[in-house]
Amino acid sequence: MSDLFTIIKASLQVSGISLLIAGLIGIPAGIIIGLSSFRGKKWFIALVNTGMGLPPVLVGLVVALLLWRSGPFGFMGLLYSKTAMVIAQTIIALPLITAFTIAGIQRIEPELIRQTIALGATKLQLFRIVFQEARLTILVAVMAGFGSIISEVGAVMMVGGNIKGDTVVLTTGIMQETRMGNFENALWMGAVLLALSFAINLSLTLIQQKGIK
Amino acid sequence: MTSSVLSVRDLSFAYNGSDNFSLSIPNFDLYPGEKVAIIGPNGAGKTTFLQAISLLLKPTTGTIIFDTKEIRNQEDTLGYHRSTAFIPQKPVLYNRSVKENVGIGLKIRGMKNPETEERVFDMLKKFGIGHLANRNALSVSGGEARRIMLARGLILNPRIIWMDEPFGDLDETVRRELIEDLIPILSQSGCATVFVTHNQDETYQLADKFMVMVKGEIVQSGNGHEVFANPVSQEVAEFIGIKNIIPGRVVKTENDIVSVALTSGINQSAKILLVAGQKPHAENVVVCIPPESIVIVSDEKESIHLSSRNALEGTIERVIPGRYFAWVEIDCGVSLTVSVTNESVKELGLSRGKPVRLLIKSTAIKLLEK
Repeated sequence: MSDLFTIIKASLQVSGISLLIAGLIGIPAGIIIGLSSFRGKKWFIALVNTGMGLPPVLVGLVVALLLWRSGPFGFMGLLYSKTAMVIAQTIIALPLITAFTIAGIQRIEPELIRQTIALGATKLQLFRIVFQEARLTILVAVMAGFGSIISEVGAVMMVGGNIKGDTVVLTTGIMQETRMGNFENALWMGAVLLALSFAINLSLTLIQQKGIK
Repeated sequence: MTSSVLSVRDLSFAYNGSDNFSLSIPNFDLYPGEKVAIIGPNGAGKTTFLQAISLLLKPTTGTIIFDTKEIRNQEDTLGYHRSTAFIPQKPVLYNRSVKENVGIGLKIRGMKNPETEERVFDMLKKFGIGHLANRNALSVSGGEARRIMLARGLILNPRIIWMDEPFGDLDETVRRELIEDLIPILSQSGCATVFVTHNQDETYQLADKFMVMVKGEIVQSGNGHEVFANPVSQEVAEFIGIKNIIPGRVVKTENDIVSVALTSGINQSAKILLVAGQKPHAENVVVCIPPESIVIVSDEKESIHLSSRNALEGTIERVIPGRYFAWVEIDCGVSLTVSVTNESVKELGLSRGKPVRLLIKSTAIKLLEK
């Protein structure tokens, strides 16, 4: 049972930190991209949107190649560590969070942005006000990002290495146990994964729905 | 004369890649407490003008001097925005409570909560929407949304308030109530007001100066009488709803009486109209005949005593009934519209096909430059 707790902890740690980093980058980036106009903006957004469908295995492969001992970042010795898993999951969640945030910002009426400027807002104040206007969509962005990484196996398996007591997370654990024929353990882990996912999405949804009157 | 709060020189704006429209304002001065209405047909560039002069659109060229200081950089622009208020045309409200919407400008200026709340409640009360304070602003009616936006602007004690069609989509009663509430608030605040509208009724109540905008240019400005009674051009006349606009040519000027030959198909009875008290500047003119200064007579004898008038003959084409007045369209070669009280329609038995005689006072006719 203590094994299970280690695994749950690892799952929450890896996906939680990844989500935090992806959110801290993706939300401001999405706001800036959504508000600004530059050449090739549509192309850039199309690229970010494509990133939403990034296959985790592919991300895992690229991150593994980069961190491989003979690879460009091999000297850091990060492969098969939680840090490597966080890097991979951040890359998976980032386009999702950015794209949803952009969509949320673009749904705001241009008139509202103009009015905010007319009211004398500085750039930073405009960002904050726009963030608050798009908060419901941005929470969806966070939920989508979380959903995509907590349930993902490919990347964490490839860069984490599924090391017992260290880099095993719920999804890779389920795989392992199933392969070994321990269906009961696999099912328990599955149930825990679902319960976790539900609990986190429930709290985010409650926060979100509070904003709707 | 007091010095202007705003002076604009050579303001111009053109949309990227559009040759059809450009805004051009060589001169615009605004004085404290002045209330200016920008009127003009749809597509004249009124909103563009308002956005360019308030620096919500970056003008292509132009100098804006606010409070004797020229606006040169972003910092000046921010200061300008913080000293003025812009009320947009469409309802633009934040997804927050009504009181937060009204107080947001104060928050932006760094004001803290207790003081903000007090001023917000004062303002909500002035606009009669105190009961909405805690409601989400997105759930209010159109008239209430207008009140919230006006309160949000006026709470900032702006030096200038810009309003883009402030009552545009409101029905008659709601509009009238809002205008009546707004008039004292505006004069109390002492701010200069510039508002854009295509509805002329609301301008009479709110404005003391009128500017007519056509195709991106201010073609006429002045007080109500100057603009509405003396339109400078055919376009302005058409916009302010003057009917009976006919092109003509000056053939003789004698003792203040101008003889104008109508160039478009008027029949034999009135090839020449006599106009008194006007000095045309060009040979080619446009004749305007106000519908209420045309008299329909059925009795031949009446015209004998009134020889100084122009007399025309025609046939009634159409009688369009109204609440108090009817519009009677009469074919005299060109179509003239006459406004007649409903009683007169009955008395004179005016109906389609009836031949009538029209009398027009020579002093009632306006000559405009083409």
